[in-house]
Amino acid sequence: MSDDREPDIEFRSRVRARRLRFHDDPEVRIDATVSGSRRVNLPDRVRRDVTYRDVQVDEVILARLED
Amino acid sequence: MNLPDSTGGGIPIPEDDRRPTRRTPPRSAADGTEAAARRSGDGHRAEAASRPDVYLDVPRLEVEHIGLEVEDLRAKVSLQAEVLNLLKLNVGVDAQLGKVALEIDGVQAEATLKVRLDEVAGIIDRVLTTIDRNPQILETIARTAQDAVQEVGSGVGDAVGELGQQAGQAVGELGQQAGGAVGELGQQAGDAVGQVGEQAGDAVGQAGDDAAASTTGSGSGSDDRPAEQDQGGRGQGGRGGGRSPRFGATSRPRAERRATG
Repeated sequence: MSDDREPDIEFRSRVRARRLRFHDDPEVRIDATVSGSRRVNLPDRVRRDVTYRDVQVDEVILARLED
Repeated sequence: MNLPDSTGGGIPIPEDDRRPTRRTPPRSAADGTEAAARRSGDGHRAEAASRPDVYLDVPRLEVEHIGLEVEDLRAKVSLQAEVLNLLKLNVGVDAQLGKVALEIDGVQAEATLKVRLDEVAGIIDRVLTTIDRNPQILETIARTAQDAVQEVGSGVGDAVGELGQQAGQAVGELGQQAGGAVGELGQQAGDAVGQVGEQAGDAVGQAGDDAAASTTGSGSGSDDRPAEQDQGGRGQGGRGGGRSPRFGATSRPRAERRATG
């Protein structure tokens, strides 16, 4: 797989929130060539019943045809 | 974590890509990157290469409060392409949310989805070029498909023939068994009615004899059981003496008609 060419499918999103609170530990799975997030005021593993404030999450999901 | 960014900047969504939500029509293989670049010159090659074939943009979304509780939610974005039995391409993103329950206030969101078909178009172009230079590939594929269709048709015909034959045999056997059962039923019904008639005749005859004997020999002893003897004598002896032969004779054909009809 060559990383120099652009992905065949590209999804990017940015979410900002004043207040965020999880009532359960989330179970999330993403299958793609590349996926990841950059977070502000939010840990990689969030905890239930904890209030996070002024958070920002930049999410990127990329998929490429493999040679 | 370093996130891949095709624009070279640190912002996931470049400013020049933020346009109102729209979809651009996919370019055909004949109008691919190289053809467009030859027409427009080298200056436009990079632009044509980076332009997505599908572009979905949510530039700004604001929600004051979201309460979300989901279980087993699945989202898929998939790109599939097939050429006969020669090529099957599948590239996609699969996201699964097993369980999520959250509340979020003061939300601002933006998102983009881009799909580029250049690579898929290039692969399909190579496949079609190969077929163009080697047309015997199509003959092989057509022959394989024809054999498969013939096998399926032959199997279906045999199955239908066997099914019809077995169904016919089953119907014949069922008819024979039904006829036999009806015949036996009629015969047994007739025999049963005959036996009932004969036993009734015998009983009536015997009752008549007993009644006659008791009437002739009991001038003073009849007060012991007058009612029973009267009922018995009328019910059995009176009818039996006159009707027992007719009862047996008329009931048999009626029962046979009912059984065979």
